[in-house]
Amino acid sequence: MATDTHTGSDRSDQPGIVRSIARLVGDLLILTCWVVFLTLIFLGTGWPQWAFYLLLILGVGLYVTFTAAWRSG
Amino acid sequence: MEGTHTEHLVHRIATLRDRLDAGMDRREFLRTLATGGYALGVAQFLGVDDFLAADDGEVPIVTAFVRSDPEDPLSLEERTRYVPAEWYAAVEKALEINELLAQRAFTGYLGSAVVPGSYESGSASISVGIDSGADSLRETFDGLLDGVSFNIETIVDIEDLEEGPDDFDPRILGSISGGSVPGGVACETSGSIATLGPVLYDPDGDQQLFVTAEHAFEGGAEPDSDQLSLPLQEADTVELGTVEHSHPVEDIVTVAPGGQIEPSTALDTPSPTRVRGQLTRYGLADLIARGENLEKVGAVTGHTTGKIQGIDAVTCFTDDFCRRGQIRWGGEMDLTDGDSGSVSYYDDPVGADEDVLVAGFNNARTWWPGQSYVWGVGAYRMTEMYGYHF
Repeated sequence: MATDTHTGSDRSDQPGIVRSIARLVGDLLILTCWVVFLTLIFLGTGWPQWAFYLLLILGVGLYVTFTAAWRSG
Repeated sequence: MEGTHTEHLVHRIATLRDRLDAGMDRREFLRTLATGGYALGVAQFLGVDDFLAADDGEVPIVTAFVRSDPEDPLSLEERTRYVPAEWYAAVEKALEINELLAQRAFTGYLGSAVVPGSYESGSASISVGIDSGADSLRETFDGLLDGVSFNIETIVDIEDLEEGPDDFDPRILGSISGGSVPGGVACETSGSIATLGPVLYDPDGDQQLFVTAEHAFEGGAEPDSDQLSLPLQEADTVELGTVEHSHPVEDIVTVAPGGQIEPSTALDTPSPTRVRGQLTRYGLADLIARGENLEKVGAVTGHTTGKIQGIDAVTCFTDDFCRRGQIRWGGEMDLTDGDSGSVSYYDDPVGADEDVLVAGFNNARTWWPGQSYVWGVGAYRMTEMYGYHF
């Protein structure tokens, strides 16, 4: 799903391929850290499952929104 | 999934999204989808549902292996205990992640340990030590996770290891009675002094071994050549035997008895003790969950007690390799030169009054500010790696 979406976006925007890939790698690195740290927090607190996924997605959304603002600004 | 179909679907969602929120363009929305999917994938890879979805029931854990016949090393029996499933799942996951951290040992990583929470909390945490040189790493982690389960400890003055003997006055055995030597008294190598452990059985159970710390042998213990001896107050020093196996990473040497003197299950403690078996990894986790103390008797500091601070600890503070399967407990004042090789133990709750179960060895202590504990390899680790047992 993730890969499909990625190639789809590249095909429609040929000149940005290199930059897109660089961004993607950066995104994946930061998000891996985010998931690992959320996991550690939830291990230590025993908070519920729904909160984990909520924070996970919320974090991703916020991350993308903020980095988008920086990059365009 | 077919590319064109996905593209079409994504395009439709994207246009919808664009109409709803002009601030987020199509590219960023696609990024959210892709990275969100990736994040969920990582969460699945880590197996977060294993502990997030754990039910409220109870599961059995094996806490110790105990000899049903104190004289028969092969009569090992399992001790079990029922614990909350939620707690078990958290501890299991913490052990797994700690293992992952140790394998991926990132720059500045000096070690980590698993610290199970109480049974009521149903939680577990991992304490990670990083080099003070890795400041950016520390800042990143600290802001995000301060006061939660992921404790970052910056360790300073890592080079400042205290060398050379302190003033010490080791507890030397008066004389040998009954042909065997209890654990917890001073033993001697050619260049140093250490504490003798209680009898350690080899994997087949047909040999009783003396055991002490490997670093007591200067330049490393040489099997079949280096000797271990026992100083006595009322007689000349006697030979205990020759080094049989040396395990520098675990910091343990085993010595085969060479003469009439045998190792003993007894420890030289204030009240009589007899080693009856050993605690497992989960046995130690159980003790942490219940806030129980371990005890030890060393040749220099004598008998001390203290709380367990972590299990399955990885320590990369000394040498150029990491030591795994370590126990952290007590405080740094509980151990000094000459105490290495002593064992930590816990009263057997089921057996006779004098029965104790060994937790692990004590081989080093913290020497930097901010932390205070003793560490050494867990008995469970020695069993997993080589099959030795108490």
